[in-house]
Amino acid sequence: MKEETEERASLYIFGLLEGKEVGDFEMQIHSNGELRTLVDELDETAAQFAHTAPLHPLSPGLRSQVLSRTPKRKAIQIRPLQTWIPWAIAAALALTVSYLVSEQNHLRHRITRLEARDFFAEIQVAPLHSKMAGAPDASAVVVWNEKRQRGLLQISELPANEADRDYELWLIDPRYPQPVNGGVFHVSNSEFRQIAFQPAEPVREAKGFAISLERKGGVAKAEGPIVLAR
Amino acid sequence: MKAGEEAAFALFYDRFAPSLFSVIYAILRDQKESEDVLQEAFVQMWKRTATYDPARSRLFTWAVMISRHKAIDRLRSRRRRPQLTGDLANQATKDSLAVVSDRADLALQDERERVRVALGQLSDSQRQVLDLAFFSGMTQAEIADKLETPLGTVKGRIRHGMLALRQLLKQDTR
Repeated sequence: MKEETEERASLYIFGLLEGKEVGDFEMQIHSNGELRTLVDELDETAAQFAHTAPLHPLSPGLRSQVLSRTPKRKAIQIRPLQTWIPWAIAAALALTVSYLVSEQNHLRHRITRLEARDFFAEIQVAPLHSKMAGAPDASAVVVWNEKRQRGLLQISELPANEADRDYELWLIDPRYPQPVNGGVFHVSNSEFRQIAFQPAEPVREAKGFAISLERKGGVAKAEGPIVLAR
Repeated sequence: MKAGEEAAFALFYDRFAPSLFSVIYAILRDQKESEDVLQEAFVQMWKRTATYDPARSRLFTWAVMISRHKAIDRLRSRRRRPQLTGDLANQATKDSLAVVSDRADLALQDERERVRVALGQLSDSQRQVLDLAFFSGMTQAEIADKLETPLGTVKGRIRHGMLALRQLLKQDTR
């Protein structure tokens, strides 16, 4: 690839191309797979600068403000006929964008391109429900990133377990005859907790998740009762 | 999936908000404005979660770019109006702030260290120009003026710096 193209790609990802350069470069991106890959990789690289910003404290009430501002989703299925909607939105966005001043125009183009990448496509989210008569409100959410082979388990109102017991997370992958061990954890009170996990074996197709109550330290194959499952 | 989306979004906030807020604050240097921008960024991200195209970037990249875009947009519109006394506002809210979120977990610290080490292998001039390119909201010409360096040299340093950093970060994940 020409140095000049690499230079323009580097400027582009920071929003530093100006005026007509932006449109010309975006046309190049659309028609050149190698360039598109370079831009994507430079995007990933540029995003790492976020880790160089000194950590600045968040106000304690900000979380609830942010979450309360996210509109609630309607529980409807999107029918195939409605698949034109994203395209219509994209077209409307494109029309709107054309009226913006050039510096904003460039940034919005960048974001529109990034927005076309479905961020939930990379992760799998599974709510787990209680199977315990004595603790019907216990629940958990598993957020699983197959690409990174890592996950996050958020538990809520799971009863404290006895000292000689542990909860154990299982990932169900049809490639294995038995569920894959996701690790053990202990709950000393019915707290809200987040636990990062990494399965014992590579999981390529997580069809389900479950939590069982096992002997202290966990077991290789589930023996105890299932307490939460999808 | 739908049932879990709101819970996932709360997790997403917990996981990324400290980093995103720090980026926004590094650009705007104003607590109140940074909080507004963080909220706008999260609302925008939430609205865009239903897009259908296959993922090509990491979630973190997507979130950083949207947050940075929002912050730079705000910075540029601020430059077009009289400057507010942001520092005074910051001081007033400082006492009521919690310590840096304890949810910024070990994985985040590892990631910060990884990037710090990689950046440490670039030259000072490359680091400086990349830092301005990411955080300042300046144009190419403004960066060149600030550094008192020819524009062509600035562009070259951005290119060399980004390609080197890409390579360093790739090697580190192998």
